Amino acid sequence: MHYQTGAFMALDFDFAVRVPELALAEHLDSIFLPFGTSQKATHLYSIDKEDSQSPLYSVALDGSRLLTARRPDVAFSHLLWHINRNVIETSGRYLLLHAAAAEVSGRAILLPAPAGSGKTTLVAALVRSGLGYVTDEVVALRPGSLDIRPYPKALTLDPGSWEDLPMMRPTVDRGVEPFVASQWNVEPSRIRTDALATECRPGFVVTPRYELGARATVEEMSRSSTLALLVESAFNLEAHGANGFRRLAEVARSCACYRLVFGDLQEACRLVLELITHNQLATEVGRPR
Amino acid sequence: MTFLRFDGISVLAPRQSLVSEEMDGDVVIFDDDDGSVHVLNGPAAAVWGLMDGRRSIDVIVETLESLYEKGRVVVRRDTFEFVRELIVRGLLVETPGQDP
Repeated sequence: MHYQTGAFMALDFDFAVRVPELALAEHLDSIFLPFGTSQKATHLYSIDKEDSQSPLYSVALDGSRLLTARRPDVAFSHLLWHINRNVIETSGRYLLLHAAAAEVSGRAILLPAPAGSGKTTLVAALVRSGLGYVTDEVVALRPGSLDIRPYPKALTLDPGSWEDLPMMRPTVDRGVEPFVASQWNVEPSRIRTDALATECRPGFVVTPRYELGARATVEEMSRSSTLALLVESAFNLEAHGANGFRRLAEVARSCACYRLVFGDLQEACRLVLELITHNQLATEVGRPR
Repeated sequence: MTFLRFDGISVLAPRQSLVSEEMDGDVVIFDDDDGSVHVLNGPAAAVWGLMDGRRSIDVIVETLESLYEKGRVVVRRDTFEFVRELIVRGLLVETPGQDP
């Protein structure tokens, strides 16, 4: 017996997933809720449980096997990772940056950083504080307008973040628990019912770095360092070439740019919110009357 | 192949695949061939700005001498060291050139 989710469209990638348990299909419908579409899905992922003395879980895309694993959580994490990878690969018309982002008053706070820097936990805390959720992984810039199309995938929280954000523990059916044992996938409306951001423009670049026990500090970052960071964070700059580089330079010029080091999530969140308030006030003061 | 023989009359220019943006006095260089990025600050950015494929290194040294009160010997030494580094990084190529 198999159960199929609804169809989803995440940026330019459309898909559905077929799984062996109803509760798992419902869980996937829940974490991909922002991407629901009435169109028929082009691609079909599947998780199959192969019954033998010790069960095996296989993940496939359009009938081609991608992975076989003994642990259901490994299979499930691979499925989500693969979907995200295909979103990146098929959405090349956007300039894609490896960054989390939150939104306030139509301006995005970009958080570009390598994996393990704390960008997902920070964006989760910012959304909890009232900001709009754009993404925890991929910022999609429209090269023409530099507007950001949100990619509000479920926030992927690894065990290192669970202690800081215990309220985000997903409530799942008992049958789903083995699939999510090593990762929390938090659908944004679980943080706030109105969490989803609409299209917005880059307003801030804040590059976070988590350091165990560090006091939270923030310092201005030069625009040249910011541009270099944006270039290094781009997933697909080779497709956009020199024009993409010039567009990223425009982002660096138009944003307030900072480096953030933190060991405590709440302190980091407070500092970022202060930066936003300070810059908004500065804009108000500088605005011609 | 990287060339490392150059002198005061050599005329150098950025490789064609490079795109640069000036940002608050710094220069950020993007190599469209391999996706690499380079940041030049302060005097290095000034030297880069003068590497236009028309000025010889001697002319560039003279210009820098008037900008930085360091003396010709120091400016010449620093400029040559920097140019050597840019060549090693593959950012500059020799051109036939023409002095303005």
